[in-house]
Amino acid sequence: MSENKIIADRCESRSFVYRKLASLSPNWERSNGYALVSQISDIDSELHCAHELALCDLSHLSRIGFKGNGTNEWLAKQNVTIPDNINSANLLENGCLTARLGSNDILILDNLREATNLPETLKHQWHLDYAPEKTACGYIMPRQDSHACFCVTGIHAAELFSRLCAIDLRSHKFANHMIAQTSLARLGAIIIRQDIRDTNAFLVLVENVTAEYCWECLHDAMQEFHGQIIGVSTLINLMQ
Amino acid sequence: MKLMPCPMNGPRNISEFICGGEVEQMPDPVNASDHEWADYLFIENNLKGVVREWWMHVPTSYWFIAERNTETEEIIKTYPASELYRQRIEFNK
Amino acid sequence: MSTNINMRLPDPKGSYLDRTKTVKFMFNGKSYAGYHGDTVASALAANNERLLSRSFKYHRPRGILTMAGRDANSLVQIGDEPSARADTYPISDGLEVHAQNVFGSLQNDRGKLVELFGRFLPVGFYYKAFYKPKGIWKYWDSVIRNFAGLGKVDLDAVPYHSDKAYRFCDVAVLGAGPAGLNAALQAADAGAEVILIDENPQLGGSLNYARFHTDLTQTRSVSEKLIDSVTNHPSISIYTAAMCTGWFADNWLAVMCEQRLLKIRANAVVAATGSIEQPAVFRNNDLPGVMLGTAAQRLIHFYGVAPGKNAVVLTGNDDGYGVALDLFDNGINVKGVIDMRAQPGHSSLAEIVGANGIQIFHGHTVYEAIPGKGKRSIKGALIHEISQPGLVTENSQIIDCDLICMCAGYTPAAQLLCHSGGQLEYDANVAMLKLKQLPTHGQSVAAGSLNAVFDLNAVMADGKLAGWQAAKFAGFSTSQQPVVPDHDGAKDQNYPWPIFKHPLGKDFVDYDEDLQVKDIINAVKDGYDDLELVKRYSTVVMGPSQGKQSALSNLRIVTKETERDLNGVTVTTQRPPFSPEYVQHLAGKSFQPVRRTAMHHRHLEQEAQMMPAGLWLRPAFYGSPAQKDQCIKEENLAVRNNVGIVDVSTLGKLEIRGPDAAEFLNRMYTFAYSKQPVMRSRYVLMTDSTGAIIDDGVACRMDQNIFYVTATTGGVDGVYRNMLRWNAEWNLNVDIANVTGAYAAVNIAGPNSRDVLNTLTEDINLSAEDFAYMEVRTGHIAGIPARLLRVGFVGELGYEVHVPASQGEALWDLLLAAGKKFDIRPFGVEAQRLLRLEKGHIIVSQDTDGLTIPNEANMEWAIAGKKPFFQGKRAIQVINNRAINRILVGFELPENSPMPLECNLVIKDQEITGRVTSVSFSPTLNKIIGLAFVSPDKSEPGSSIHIKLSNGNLIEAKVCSTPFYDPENKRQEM
Repeated sequence: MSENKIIADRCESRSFVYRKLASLSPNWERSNGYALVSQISDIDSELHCAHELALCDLSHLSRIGFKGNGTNEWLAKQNVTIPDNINSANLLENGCLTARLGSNDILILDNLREATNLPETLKHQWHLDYAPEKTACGYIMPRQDSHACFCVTGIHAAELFSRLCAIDLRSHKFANHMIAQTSLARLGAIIIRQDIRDTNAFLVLVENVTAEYCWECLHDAMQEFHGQIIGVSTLINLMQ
Repeated sequence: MKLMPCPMNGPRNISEFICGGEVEQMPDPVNASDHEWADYLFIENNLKGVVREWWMHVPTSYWFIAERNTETEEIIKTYPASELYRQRIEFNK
Repeated sequence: MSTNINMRLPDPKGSYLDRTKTVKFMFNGKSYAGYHGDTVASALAANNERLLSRSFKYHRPRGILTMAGRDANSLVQIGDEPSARADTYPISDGLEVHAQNVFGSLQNDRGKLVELFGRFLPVGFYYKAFYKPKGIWKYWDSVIRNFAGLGKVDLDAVPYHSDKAYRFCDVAVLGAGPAGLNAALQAADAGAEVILIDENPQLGGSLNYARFHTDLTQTRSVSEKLIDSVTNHPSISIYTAAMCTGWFADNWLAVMCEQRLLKIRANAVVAATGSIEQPAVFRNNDLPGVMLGTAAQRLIHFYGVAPGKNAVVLTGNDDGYGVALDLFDNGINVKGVIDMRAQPGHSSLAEIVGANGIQIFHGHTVYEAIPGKGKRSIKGALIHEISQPGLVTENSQIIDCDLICMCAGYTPAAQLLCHSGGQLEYDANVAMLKLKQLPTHGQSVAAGSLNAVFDLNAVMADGKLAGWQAAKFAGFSTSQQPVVPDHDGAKDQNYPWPIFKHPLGKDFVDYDEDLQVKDIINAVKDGYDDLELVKRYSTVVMGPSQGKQSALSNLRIVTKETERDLNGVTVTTQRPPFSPEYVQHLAGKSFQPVRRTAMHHRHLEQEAQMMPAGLWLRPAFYGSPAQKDQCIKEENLAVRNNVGIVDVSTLGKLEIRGPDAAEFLNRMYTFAYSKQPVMRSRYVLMTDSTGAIIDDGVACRMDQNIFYVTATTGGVDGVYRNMLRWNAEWNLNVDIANVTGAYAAVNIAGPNSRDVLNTLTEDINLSAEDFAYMEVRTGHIAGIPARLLRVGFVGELGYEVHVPASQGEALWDLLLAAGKKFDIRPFGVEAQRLLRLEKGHIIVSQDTDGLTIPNEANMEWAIAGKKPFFQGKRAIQVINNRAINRILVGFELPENSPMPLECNLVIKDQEITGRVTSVSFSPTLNKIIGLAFVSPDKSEPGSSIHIKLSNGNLIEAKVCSTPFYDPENKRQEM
């Protein structure tokens, strides 16, 4: 159910940019304890933007990290396939994404289209498996709260990033599921290319406490290409 | 802008890194003389030529070792710190 | 003035012009018309306006010299922009252009009187003249600056939008002339992604104006075909009207393009920047009407403007004949070609010139340009026969003319190459500076005339070869290596000594700085016998054109005067920028990250006055700035007597996890952690390897292997790096995570804090017995998962509540709602600092500095000396064997005492013995209290110390024991 009035400031979990979104009078939905923006303008114009250049807040998207000795082995036991190489991502069969940020530093993002709750399941299982005196199973990284998650889509996305960071993210240089951990507008950022079908798309994770600043930088840089902020349901629509 | 080849992240602008100073062997903190300890703390070799240094990629907080020529500014090679420090280091009373 | 004369050549001459669009602009208050595509200088030239500016020192009239934005003659004020280059600045409707460095009018500049006193203005004048008596420079400074100003800075100018962007390519090609175009094409055909950069608005470079062949149509058709292929190549990105101003390490190119600084990172670079034509040196070689041959060609071919009506071409190479033919073909009366060479080689161009009836003078030079009225133009050329290099015979004649074109030779446009380590040296065989070395970091190649290749076919092949080589550098090596045909290199391009010193001077070497031949000679005579010294003493090559027209002549003169061998001489170092940059472009859009806590906007809604704390913003206090002191007092009293809440999310937060976690903390911090009980917190103090205090916080032991450690707001990043760095060496079995941003935190403090919290907790027993001071609990606050720490920073019963950052705002809302009936009050950093001062707690980096060791801050209690090792242990042991000379103490001031400031000095016997580190009025204690470093003999409570106020007065303060408030610490342990 979509609601038109601002509900974000009454949810238990709040995106760090919910005020930016609220100023656009969007349609809200509840998910994962958050209010997410399902849509801002009509679907056709949002889809058009998504192909050209668009920014979407995915802070509600369920995610978790595991890091430290034993992480990779423990995740393997949970049937979570992690990428062979650092700085690459892997799409699981259930639509979840595993991103390898270091040799034993793994980020897991839920399927945007259909929540699998894998992050919550793994968190629960970890607490069952963890005991100080037992074999290592890594440690939890609170990625849901440490990082905001945005999605930038469209044919101008790489050029947008060229104004904010020094990595060549153009499609022929930066393959799908590659990861760049770099400086974005002078912030440490994790940039994951995850195309949505034929649409070039990047997940951008920055520290929650800098999310508002980052959002402003992305939004400002988008203006040259008439980029727009779009809702989550448009992204899901793109997936279908 | 110089490029630094990070062993984990590949070549990146040098502005993404900080230098942690020369790789130095810590003298035994108990048995070293005051002079040896002061030398370790305060005296930089500042060599002209190839030096071995600690560098960190800031966005990933990843420390590694770089060998570079201070005269030509050429970065000769970079590698994970684990290639230099393989053993657990203990301090004895 | 003769402004009604139209110098425009008939259509279709002028490749830059769109003659369908007339553009009107203003120059010195008068309206002029030109075409779209014109520059200020070309449009003025079309209107027969030759005078553009006045020179820097003598206020001599100056006009077009290079027509390429390379000289200071063309500097004008355009709108609010000083020192714009009239010869490359495009006109637009309504553009306001003014001459600069003018007293009165451009036509009649009173400043020109300076020239009469020229002999009293010797080289090094400023160094010699204005330094006596002492202090007199202050007076002359403003007079001279006023006289020698270059344009006016408009302090009210409105900045426009500018930004920066990265671009990436396999091969970057600098210069889109015949070499650059071929290089780009070759590299792109090999599969490389190419970026082609040229400062001109159109591709083609010299192909668009120079006369390589006798048959112009042949050059044009080659050019058109080449440009067509490049433009249509899918792998070539073209940036025209783009100025590459710097070439930095690892092929990082700064390119100014429109209102953007492009930061191009190329795998390999082809430098095909061509060469810069050089003036000849003779008397009055600076007056309007004397210009480079290429400037005349640019005027004709780009802008369809006749550079004059009656021309004399002074040449030292065959290109001068090409210039003569271009003039001739466009209806300009060429009165003679003055060839400095006694015996020029065979040239088909010369033959055509002769066949057209143009008189050729071999072994002659222009010795002087004869000035027209007010020196605003020329009316003739005095030519002399050359006897030996630089000298002439009496054999002379005057040729009436209004234009002298100078074709004395070239110097490579190697500035960019030199930015990253390229080097030039003089080759006496061809009288030219040539590349001695390419950039030191490799992956670059030079081509074309920059590479001393001048024959057009060879230039094109050289470009191909460079493109092939660059592609190979970048990992593309599919095609066969191109072959450059035999060619003559730079032979016969440069006349070796086009310098004719005149007894009456005004034979300019450097136009920017009005330096004549005698000035350079005198600089050497004054003892500055090295190029670098002559440069600094005379300011030669230091003007706006940075030696682009003067470096070669200067090098020749200095070398001759110092009786050195020209062969192998190198030039002064070239540094960025190649061409002036707008500071605004360098600044671009500024990125200044701001860290905001989850509750940031709630603070704003509650009228918090925010203050920066590192990258963070924190509430200083809540309420109107006008009532700051009152607000802080009320916040302070709310915590002491009731309940307050402060956002402490900015605290650094680290998780240290693993079997070696306690051992790791033992090594990083001064205290001992192995035996710390689970669910208890313990103070942490970090010293650096020299024993100085660098951070503090608390470590909470969550289980045997997991510690949750806080750090200072400003210190956590350094602490985290330090930890990672050491464990990369130690290899302890521990994982270190910086979770600062992942948790929001508040400190709810005051006698009623337990009651407020009790209304929201179900799974945590808050009673003093079950949850004692310094203990830690995990549980939920109204459903929000939380870590609770009983801490005592502000000295009251209090709880630090750490929750997931996404739920921080919800927590804040819940606590304020629950606290409403207790009249809970949010408090800011100011009140927090005051509260802790009342408790005598130090703030690291406020009450300590980079040298403070634990003993000086009364922190011996936090040192576990029995541990085998911690960072700083050895240093502290050594230092502790010596007497300390300062110690941090509490002090109080008598009633009605003035308030000292932090950093006011503590004085003893007129010596500085310490300083105030914290000071404030305590509303609880109703007196001024503070912390200060004092000498150890004054550290006993009751001692009297003297503090020097900012106004110089000394006040007496009494040392007292800390805590000032609740010395038994009963209130925080309730």
